[in-house]
Amino acid sequence: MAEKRKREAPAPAPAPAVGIDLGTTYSCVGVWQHGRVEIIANDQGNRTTPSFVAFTNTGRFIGDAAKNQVDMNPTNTVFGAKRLIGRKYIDPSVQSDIKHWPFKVIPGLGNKPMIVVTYKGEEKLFATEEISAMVLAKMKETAEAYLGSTVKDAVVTVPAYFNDSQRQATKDAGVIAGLNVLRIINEPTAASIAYGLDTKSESTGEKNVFIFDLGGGTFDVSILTIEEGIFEVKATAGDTHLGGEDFDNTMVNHFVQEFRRKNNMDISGNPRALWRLKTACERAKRILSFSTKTEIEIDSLFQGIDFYSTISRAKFEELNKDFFTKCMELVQKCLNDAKMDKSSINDVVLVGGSTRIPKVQQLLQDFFPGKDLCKSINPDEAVAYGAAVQAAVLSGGGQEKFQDFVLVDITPLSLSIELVGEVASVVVPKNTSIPTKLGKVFVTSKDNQTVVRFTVFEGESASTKDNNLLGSFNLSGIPPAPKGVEMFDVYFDIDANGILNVSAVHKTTGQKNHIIITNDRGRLSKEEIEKMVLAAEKYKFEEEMYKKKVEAKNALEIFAYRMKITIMNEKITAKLPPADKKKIENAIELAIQWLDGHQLVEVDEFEDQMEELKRICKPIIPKSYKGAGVINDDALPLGRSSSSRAAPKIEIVD
Amino acid sequence: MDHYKILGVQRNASKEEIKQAFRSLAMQFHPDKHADSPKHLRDTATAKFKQLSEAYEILTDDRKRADYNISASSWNTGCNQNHGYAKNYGYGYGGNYTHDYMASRGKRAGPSLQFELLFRFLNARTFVRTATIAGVLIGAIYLIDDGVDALWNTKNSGKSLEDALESIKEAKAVKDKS
Repeated sequence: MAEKRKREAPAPAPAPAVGIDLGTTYSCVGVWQHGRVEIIANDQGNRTTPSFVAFTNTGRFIGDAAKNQVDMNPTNTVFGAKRLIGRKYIDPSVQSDIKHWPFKVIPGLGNKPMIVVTYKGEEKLFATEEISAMVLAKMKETAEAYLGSTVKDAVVTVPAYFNDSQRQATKDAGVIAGLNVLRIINEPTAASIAYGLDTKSESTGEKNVFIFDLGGGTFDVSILTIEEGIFEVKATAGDTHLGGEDFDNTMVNHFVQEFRRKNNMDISGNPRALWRLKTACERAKRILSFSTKTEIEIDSLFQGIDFYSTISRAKFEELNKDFFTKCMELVQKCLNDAKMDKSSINDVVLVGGSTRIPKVQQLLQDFFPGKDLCKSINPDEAVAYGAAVQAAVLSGGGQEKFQDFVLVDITPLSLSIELVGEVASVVVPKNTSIPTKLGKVFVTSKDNQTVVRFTVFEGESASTKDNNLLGSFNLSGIPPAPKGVEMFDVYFDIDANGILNVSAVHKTTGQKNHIIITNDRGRLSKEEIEKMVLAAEKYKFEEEMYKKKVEAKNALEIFAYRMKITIMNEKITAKLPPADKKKIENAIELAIQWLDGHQLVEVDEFEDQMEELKRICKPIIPKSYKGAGVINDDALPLGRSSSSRAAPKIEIVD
Repeated sequence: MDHYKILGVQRNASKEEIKQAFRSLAMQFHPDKHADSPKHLRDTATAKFKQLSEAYEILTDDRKRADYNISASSWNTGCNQNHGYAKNYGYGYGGNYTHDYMASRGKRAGPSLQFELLFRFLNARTFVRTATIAGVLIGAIYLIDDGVDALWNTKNSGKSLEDALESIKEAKAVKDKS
């Protein structure tokens, strides 16, 4: 009944579009409301939610609940899905990540990495998109709980340096989560919106802003010029596989070796020990941001052996110096791409949790002498903040406020057509403002060639074999002619979402063909997505059922114990005939016994038990209870209620 | 399309002027500014923005602007996407693959393995060009002579392909000398 009501109730006033920062380690959701951005706290009261999904025998957990149980259930807790999304299993970065993860990843169809977990006693395979979808669904729920209505539209952020397949896969994840993804925007760009709006009042004239975004898993740098509401991205560079997790991993490796030296034992095959060590390292890393030395203490890390060690900030910096160097190289590269000198940068903005590392700040400070590093925006929330603004702009909410706001983004990677000899001929250079339509002329390479194949790549290498294949198409029916005679106009058309449409026209015959690069191999097909949407709904339904069961059980339990206390109260039972009192006592005792033997039966059974107990206990139910409508309604003070927001928080972990 | 006209600037406009023109027009025509507009308006704006983006991309890059100025004044064709055309023409061959080759590439279960490999070899890298210059005959003879080994190596290691190409170049050099 409650379920029916739940379905009917939310329909009016569609919720505003939200902005979601889908991070490698943490995610964050924001919404534009009442003329400002609100970052929404989850059911645990946290403004960022771990991007973790756990599978157990009883159910599925997402976010804090999942992260909190990792060391009990390491092989079935999935995290860092962003490092897999849109990549191939054989990708070297995937191969090296797998070594650090306690959960299992296997190659699927078309070399897609698939995550293997045991869920309710069964082995299950999940595509990366599905795991990301679960995190997105959690963020959606968080926003819905806050807004009190169903969220449909969202802007989701990705690292600026994500390639086409990574973007598409992220978009698919949104669809699986039941979201209409209005736009995929770049994280540093989103952060710049947060920064730009923050400093809008105090600045006049053009400002060149350098965004340095070092997060949990990815690193991005972008240069923007901001002038009176116009945000123009000039250049972007980055590494989609560089972040806080890598720093943790080098520390883990360091301590694994230390443990081996000290105890002559290898813990690298033990997921639980590795996870505990990783957690300790992550904590140590955070401490080292404000302290110069810290201890690592893990009781019974491996085979009953305790592990104690110390690490200094200097050691941490030395372990990760290659990563830091890489960061600074990309800073320089971005400046080169923007054709700017570092002296023309007005502000350097720090985004992402890893920018709290003193060494990172120091290197940046040395690189941009005399510039203050801007820390006024929250590095963990800036991306979601900007995404929320963009969501409002795109959904038309708050039009007046954004009258003079426009964001002109760019393509992060060059787009090219393959020539003879795997040579990439660039049609759209990287850092071109989008939307855009650019063209180039190509000719046949062989005598009497009747079919031409156009293969589209993205990437910066001059050789296509090092670039990312986006797709290809043929143009046939070309009249035989000597090579170089037949000409083709090839157009690359990119919309504001970054979706690329490539078309080729034969100049003399007018023959045409085109592809919309949305269905690259390795990407989920429409049918697969539909299947996953259904599966996601099924999981959600199961989860809700499980929640309802737990709630119904708790309601009964609470009611029974409450009555047990009530019946012992002389004042209330004074007027009660002893036979009735006995009857009530028996009923309560029976209910409690029944509960012990029936931990998780169907909701109906709990409700039947409840009805029965209520009926018997009616004479002793206090008036205040009646006022709350215990008798004729199912809304117990602490029990099942129609609003999920008011529901008790029950987290049962393994 | 005249990029200067699109941006509404003089032919001698400074970069600063071009930038300002782009920005004020972007504010007007960026599709995001038309999120709520009727579809035809949004489409027109998008098309206009794409022209702006192209004009901006070309006119703010000194080399591209110079190229454009030259081609625009000499050809006056109104189709200036091919500013890189003249250079491309010499070597910019678009997809050279024959139908057979594509079929074997698309479906791994090609006509026959040897046939497929032969085509892959023939089409690989600069071989096609080199072979054309060197004369198909020499290449073919070479292939037939070393056919089995070459095929085996091609399939098993990328390096041997390089070696094979080197040999072709040598063969070509020998021929040139003679």
